[in-house]
Amino acid sequence: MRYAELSTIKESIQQAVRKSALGNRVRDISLEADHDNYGSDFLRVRLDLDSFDGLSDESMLAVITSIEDSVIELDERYPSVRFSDAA
Amino acid sequence: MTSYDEDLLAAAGRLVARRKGQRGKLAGARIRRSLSTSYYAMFHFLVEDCCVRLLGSSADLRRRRRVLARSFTHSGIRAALDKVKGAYVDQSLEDFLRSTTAPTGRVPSPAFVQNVAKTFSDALAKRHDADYDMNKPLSEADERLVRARVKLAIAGWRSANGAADRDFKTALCMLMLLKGQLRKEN
Repeated sequence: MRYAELSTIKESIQQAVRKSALGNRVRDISLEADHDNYGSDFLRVRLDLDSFDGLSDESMLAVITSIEDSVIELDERYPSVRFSDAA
Repeated sequence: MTSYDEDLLAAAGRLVARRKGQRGKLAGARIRRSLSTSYYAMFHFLVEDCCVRLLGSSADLRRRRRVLARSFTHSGIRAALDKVKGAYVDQSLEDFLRSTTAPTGRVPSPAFVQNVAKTFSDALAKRHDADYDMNKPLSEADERLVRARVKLAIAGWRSANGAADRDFKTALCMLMLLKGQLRKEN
């Protein structure tokens, strides 16, 4: 399996987010490795946003895809991107 | 008549629908149940579509399709889709998935297939947390985006009907049934 350091993956996610419609709305990005009931490893990516105001579902789906594409190049674990409830 | 996946997605939407004027956070159970239901819409769509591709759509064969459907597994579908989620299919599958008209070299994964593969993995990972890990929070946005994504992925798969698309889908269905593994040559 092709695994990268979590710090490298997080940097890649930060770059993808910076270029996205979310821009500077993201307060924090957390990343953890886990495995599911079927024994497969995956990555749990959580984005904390200041606000969802004015963000369309299309733009959020585009961010998810952008993060997935950036991580897939580095690591075989699937990055599952989640959003925290806005403050 | 609506399909089973459409019925499941409609049920997922009803689970999180607010009454007129209702505000505030939705109960976590509604978000988790809805997310899980959206995943099952994706799962059952793929299983049903594959059974039709592999056995035919005749009403007489419905019972046979339902028997075959029991042989598809969550992990098997994910293992197969993991190998086509990138821009190019996994090298171990190139000979199997290469189109008869395609040149030699890397075999690209069609965009609609990449989308289905990523959506399936995303929905499965979130369904895992929704059903089994109450310590992992899931937001209304997570639920809404998975439901929207599943709808888009299914629509993309359904609308890809060129000869090369149909050929790729049939081979990929076989691979899902085989849990992503082809016998290696000695």
